[in-house]
Amino acid sequence: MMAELNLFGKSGFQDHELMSDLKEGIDSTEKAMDDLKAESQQKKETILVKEEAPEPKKVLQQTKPKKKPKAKRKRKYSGHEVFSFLLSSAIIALVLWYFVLKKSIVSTVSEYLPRSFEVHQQNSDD
Amino acid sequence: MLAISIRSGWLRYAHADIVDQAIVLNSLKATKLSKEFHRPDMRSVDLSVILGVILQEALNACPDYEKEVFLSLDERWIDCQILPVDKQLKAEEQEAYIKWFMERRLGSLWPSSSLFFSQVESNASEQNWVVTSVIAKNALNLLKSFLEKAGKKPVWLEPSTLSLARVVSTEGPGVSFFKDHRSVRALFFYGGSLRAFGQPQIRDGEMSLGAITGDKDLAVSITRMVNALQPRSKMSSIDIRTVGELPGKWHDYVSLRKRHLEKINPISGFKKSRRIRLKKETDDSDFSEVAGLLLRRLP
Repeated sequence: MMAELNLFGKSGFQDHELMSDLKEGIDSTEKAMDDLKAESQQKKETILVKEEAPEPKKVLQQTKPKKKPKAKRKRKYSGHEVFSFLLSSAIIALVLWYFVLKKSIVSTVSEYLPRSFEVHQQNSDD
Repeated sequence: MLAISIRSGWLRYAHADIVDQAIVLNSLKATKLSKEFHRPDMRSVDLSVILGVILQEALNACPDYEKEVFLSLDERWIDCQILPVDKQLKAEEQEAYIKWFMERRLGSLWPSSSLFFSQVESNASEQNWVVTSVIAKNALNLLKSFLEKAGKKPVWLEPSTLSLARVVSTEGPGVSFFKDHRSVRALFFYGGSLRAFGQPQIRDGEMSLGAITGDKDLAVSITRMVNALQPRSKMSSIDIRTVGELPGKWHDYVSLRKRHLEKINPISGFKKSRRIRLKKETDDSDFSEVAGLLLRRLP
């Protein structure tokens, strides 16, 4: 009798009796598939039960409402975050001031012409 | 059923139906795999992608109603050996011994490997012979899950040597030669069981055993008997079978002994659908593993 090995079967020693009848192998595969299906069905059912489970809870809550303990208010922003925000906005403001406002001041300075300078000097001498 | 074989870089597959306890072939195809799939890393995470690329073609060629998948993989995927075990040991002791032996042989690969073994029919000798197969756990799990995801039933998986043995097994002592690309595989039988196999060579017109696993004494005796055969020798007491046109020096070796040997066509015994049109250059012997898997399905 030929030695038979099915690597889709159980590992270790494989008996001749088990191996000789392929039908058994197929049946076991089918059984495994059925088991898997049954298992997945069972899982689905348990998931459904879990989803439905809140209802009795709601009933319980209605009969005996419990006050939730007040949770401590947590600050939205820490001091460090506020400080860094202020510092960064100040730096941005300074940069803006330097490039926009300072430029406009410089642009308003007018230069005297040489003739007008002479007139100005004469007026001051008088 | 869908029978798929991967051997020496080729994917070969057949879809068949069982009608009145006879196999009817609906399709029979062969595809050469690209080189990156010849020696895939069995422990790689990406193996599932490679499996998908290799097997998808065979699955696409199979109708949806067909669920059963039978697989035969060569030594690049499944390691197969025939080991001697002391006959006086109990079954548990034999199992423990084989596990101990394989653990030492595989070394660091042992924890990530799955081991399967089956006892060969016993004879009068002091030893039992056990066929052992090792496959990477990763490869086995991915194969199963890939087929299941594709909506198929992974029914049977075996090393290619066992598929070949089913095609040519003989009751008496015998040897069968299979063409394997440019080399030859030899399977040695005794009492209807595969006792040894390997890749012999021809040197100075005589066959010599190279790497061989199993009952070496039996293989050596059979080899001597085959070497001693002459064209005018009396009929031999051993069964000699060839599958396919043997390459190179083997052709002359076999031709000298053709009176004593039997040529086997692995798919000649199956009924074929009219849809099957094989190319003229197609060698039927290339479908030996596929034929072996199909035979497995028969009661």
